[in-house]
Amino acid sequence: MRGMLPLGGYVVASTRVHECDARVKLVLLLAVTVVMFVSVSPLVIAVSVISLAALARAARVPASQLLRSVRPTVVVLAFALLANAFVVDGTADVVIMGGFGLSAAGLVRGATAVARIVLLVGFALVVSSTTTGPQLADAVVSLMSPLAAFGFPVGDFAMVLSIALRFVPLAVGEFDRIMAAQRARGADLDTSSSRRLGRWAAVLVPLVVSLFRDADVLADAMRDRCYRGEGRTRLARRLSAADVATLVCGLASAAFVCIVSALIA
Amino acid sequence: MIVIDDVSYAFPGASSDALDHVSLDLAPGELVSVIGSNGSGKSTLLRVMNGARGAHEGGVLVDGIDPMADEASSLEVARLVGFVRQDPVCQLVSSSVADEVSFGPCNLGLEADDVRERVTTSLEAVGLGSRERSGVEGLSGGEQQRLAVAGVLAMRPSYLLLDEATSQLDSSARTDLRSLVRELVAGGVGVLQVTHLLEDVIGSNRVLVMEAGRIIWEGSPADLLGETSVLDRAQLSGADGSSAPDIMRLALSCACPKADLLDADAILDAVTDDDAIDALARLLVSPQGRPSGREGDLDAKADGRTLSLREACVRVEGSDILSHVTFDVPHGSVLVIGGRSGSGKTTAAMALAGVGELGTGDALLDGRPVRAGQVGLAFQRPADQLFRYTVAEDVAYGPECRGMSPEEVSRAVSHACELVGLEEPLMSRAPLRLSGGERRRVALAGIVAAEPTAYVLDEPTAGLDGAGRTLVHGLVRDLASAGSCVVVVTHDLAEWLPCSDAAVLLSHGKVSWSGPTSELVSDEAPFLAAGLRPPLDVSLRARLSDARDRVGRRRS
Repeated sequence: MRGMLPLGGYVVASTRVHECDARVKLVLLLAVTVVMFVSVSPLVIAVSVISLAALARAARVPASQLLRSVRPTVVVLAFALLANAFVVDGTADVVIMGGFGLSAAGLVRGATAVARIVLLVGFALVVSSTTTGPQLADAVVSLMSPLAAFGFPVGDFAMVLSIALRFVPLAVGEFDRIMAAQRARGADLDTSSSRRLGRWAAVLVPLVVSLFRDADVLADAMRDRCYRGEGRTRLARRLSAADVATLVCGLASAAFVCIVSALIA
Repeated sequence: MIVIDDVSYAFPGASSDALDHVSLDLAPGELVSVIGSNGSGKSTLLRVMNGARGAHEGGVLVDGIDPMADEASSLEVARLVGFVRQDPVCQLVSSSVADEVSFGPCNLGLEADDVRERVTTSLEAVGLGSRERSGVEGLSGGEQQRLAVAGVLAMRPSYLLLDEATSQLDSSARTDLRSLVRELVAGGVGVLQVTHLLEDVIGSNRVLVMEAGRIIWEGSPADLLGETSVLDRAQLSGADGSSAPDIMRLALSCACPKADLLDADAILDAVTDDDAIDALARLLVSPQGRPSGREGDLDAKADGRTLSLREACVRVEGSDILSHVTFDVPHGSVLVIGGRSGSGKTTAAMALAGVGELGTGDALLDGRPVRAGQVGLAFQRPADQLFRYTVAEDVAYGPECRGMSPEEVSRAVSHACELVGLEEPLMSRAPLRLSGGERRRVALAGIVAAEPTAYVLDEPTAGLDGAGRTLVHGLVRDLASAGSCVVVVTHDLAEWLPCSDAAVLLSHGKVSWSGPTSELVSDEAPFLAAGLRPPLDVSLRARLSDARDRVGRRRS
């Protein structure tokens, strides 16, 4: 058995954040992203930290999960921080050797960049852990539906997205199962060497074969339930009053933070 | 009415027909069972009946509609004929319960309000009314199968085809699904089920036996019990090498109602005269099919030469998957681990094989912590691990990983192939081009060839016909007789009790019962405590003396 996936992992609970319409959550996530990249000020960072903490608490997403989600990017983040902090042109505040040293301004710049990414991962995590795969797929499709006018196959895209989200945990489970079976046969999958890739054939070949078989079964099951890819009923929910209020308040505060930080600067 | 008239079908490139001039009909409100060995054409028959495959010869009509006539007819037949498969996981298209059920009705292009109404009523019909807003992953295997049925019911079908729908479920989930099917039949749905289980067959109106693409026998379940030669060829689980058919025959001869042949009380109510009770008692003695190896066990156990779990605990996200599980499997013996799905059986199996981590506690082989590669491990569908170009290479993989010399490898390979009955001509073939039964032998040979001294087999016979099960049972007995520790994890205790020396029942991650099999075979309480339905022979054995007393009292 393996731990949670880096991002994703719907946390079953019934909170206000879970109840909120997925479209609203996606639009607000987009708004937060725009704000963070448009305006670089300590105010934006501070407000984001507070609102992320409040949201995570309301949605009952544990802080440990946020740390786990950031872990894969830790090397890149550390590099971004250091690359900004060290200067070689003699402008260093703390000179280490010659023109090489630490720059306070660079350190702040690097820290801001890192904080921005960690915060965005945090917001995305709150969305993904309070929204099921189908809700997410529906929301994406619903937001994309104007594209149908230009001939974009929105319905097919929706199905592909929804099934992909459904198959990720299945593929992970299958992978774990086959890996356990091959390790029990004596496969050494842990020590690294030049032949490591060849050894992984023992897992990857059966995995691909079994995923193709599952895909065949699923295709048959969809056919048996009259799937044709077109003419499907769309069960679009109408936004509730609470959803609309959340959307308006969220967008208004994002704009407010933007304007205030611009005025201060 | 579904009418199949003289239908033949061959897979592309196959030398023989998968269906060879088959005729049958299925009326609304009727339950028909189709039985026969793996590869006899049962599943193909179902695929033809719902229009997914076009017959090469003969005709298919569903309520007068030919699925091959045009696109609209094909769609209407798919709607009229629901289909539920063996694997609860692969056939679900969505990760949310409500969404899963709405899939079919949405495909039909119904009004949104109509779709929502159908979702609610279908979920209520299968007993999942309260789970409408749940995720699919959180459901048990039995619930997922009922969800699959709900997804079909939402299309308002007239017929339902079940392709081994109960085979991966534990005994109580099977009973639930079976009673759901009975309700649907009573409500006028025509159901045709493919099954390997005697218990599924008993309640049906008619039974068809298939062999090599043909229907070789047709009759009532009672007739089938009377025809021992047909029963053998049908390769039912619970019928081969077991006394269940004899017990049922005896009950029928004592005028036990046909529908109650799975109910121990009904059988004992019917079997009243002394001769019949004696005959029943004779059928119930000697459930142990493994006379050898028992005495060596005690020595091995005394020496500490065992495969063991000690105080094993696993916690995932705050819930106990395993909690203080302790047991020993001495060399030369077979231990069966039973329990409902989700009781922690597979987690225990992985830990025993050295490929799953324990939170606290130990998995030990002969007193030392188990390392991956020391214990042979087979999951259900062991053929999933084949990956090399030829059979010989694949079987040699384990021995090579253990660092055996080329001579030792070839000796181990030929010994393993002999044990599982793999013949020489197959050795140079590609594993993926073999039949299902042959692939299973290759996979088992690959596990045995590494020559571990202990084995863990997780649901090794699920979905297998009689021949496949006999192979695995025989292998388990051979391995134990040769001195290995063998652990079999199963939801089907009735099948494995006769092959085992000891049993452990798990319930919610805890050991709810453990002891020698001989104590379990006449005691219903351990099964009930683990949330399982006691096997028929166990219930009968447990209540036989009561029944005798009752008869005695009535007489005096």
